[in-house]
Amino acid sequence: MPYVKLESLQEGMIVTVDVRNLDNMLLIPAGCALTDRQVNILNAWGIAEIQVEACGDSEGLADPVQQLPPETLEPLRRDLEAAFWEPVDTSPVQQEVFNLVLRRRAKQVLEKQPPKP
Amino acid sequence: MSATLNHLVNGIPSLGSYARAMAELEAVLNHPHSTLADLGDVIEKDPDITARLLKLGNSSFFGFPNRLETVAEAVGVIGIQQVQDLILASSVVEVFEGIGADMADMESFWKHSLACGIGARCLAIARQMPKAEKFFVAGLLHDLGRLVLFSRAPEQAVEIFKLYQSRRMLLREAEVAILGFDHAVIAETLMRSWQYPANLVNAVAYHHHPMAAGVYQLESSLVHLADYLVHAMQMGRSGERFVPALNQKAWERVGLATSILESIIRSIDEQIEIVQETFLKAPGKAVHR
Repeated sequence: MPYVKLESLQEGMIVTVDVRNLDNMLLIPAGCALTDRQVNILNAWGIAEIQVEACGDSEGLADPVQQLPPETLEPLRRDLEAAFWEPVDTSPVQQEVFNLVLRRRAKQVLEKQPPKP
Repeated sequence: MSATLNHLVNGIPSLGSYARAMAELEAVLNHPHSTLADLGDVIEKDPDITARLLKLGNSSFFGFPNRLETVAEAVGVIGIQQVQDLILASSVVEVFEGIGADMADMESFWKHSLACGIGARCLAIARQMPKAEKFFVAGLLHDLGRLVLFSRAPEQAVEIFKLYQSRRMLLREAEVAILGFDHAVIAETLMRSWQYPANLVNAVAYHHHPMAAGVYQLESSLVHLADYLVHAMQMGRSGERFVPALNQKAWERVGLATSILESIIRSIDEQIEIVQETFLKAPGKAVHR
């Protein structure tokens, strides 16, 4: 299921994974249709993105990494891995940073591509 | 080793042309009856600081809903500590302006440093640290020692780069191999000679070894994490080609959830341009009231 950033969330989107705060308190249970009030709650807790069901207009919301063809993505991934002094799977936080940075790079590549006719 | 260190840092001015503004500001602050308007009057004497202050105050860095029109307004909402930090940061950029392009891509160097400042500040805010603003300066200055090397020991800096490029190693390892100490030690020595506050000195001195920072572990861990993130984002270059290792204990010491990282990275992306414009480009015409 795609991660969707806070600013792209819309009322009615179906939350697919429980959303919890830093104290593990349940904020929004999986299966819930999102309300504006819940988006405000996410904002208040500093939660940047959550997982929701893919919807019809998912192109702008989908993970940019998934939108890149393998022949573009793999060199990107290899270059990024080579830039890290330690293997990127050394710890969960390193893995998370790697995934976020790869996604950022993939987004930059997509933005440079000419728009589809 | 210490003679070489002292040779490197001796005589580097701490505030350059900003020394007068800082001294006047402190005099007003120490006066028991001074007001925001008095502070505004002192700052407005310096059009450079005035322009930078209003530019930053009206940017996404602070995100205030209403436009700040006067220096007194800006000081009121931004805070006097932030104004002093702005002067400090501008002065450090000025002191090291003369470093040649053959030695380092200075625009890229400052981009990395400023991004680290933004990242450290955002992490400190997320961690609900008191006076989170000071972490901007700590991040900005974390590689100060490299600037000292470029400007005071250019031949040794070239030697370090040659060694570094000859094999797979970190730049700071090459520094230690050639000099016997790294850029963090140089920065620590310089900042102590400038009599900077201990928390700032230690946050910079231990940004590669935050768990050795004693009572300043948290401060140095925040700078360490910001440096790691900015290296991973490949935002600017400090000279180091690798994303250095992340100290897992530093991450645990800071105690944030991994879910916060996305918003920190986004904030760095959103704020870097305006912060670069504020510190690295000549400000526009100052607004006086």
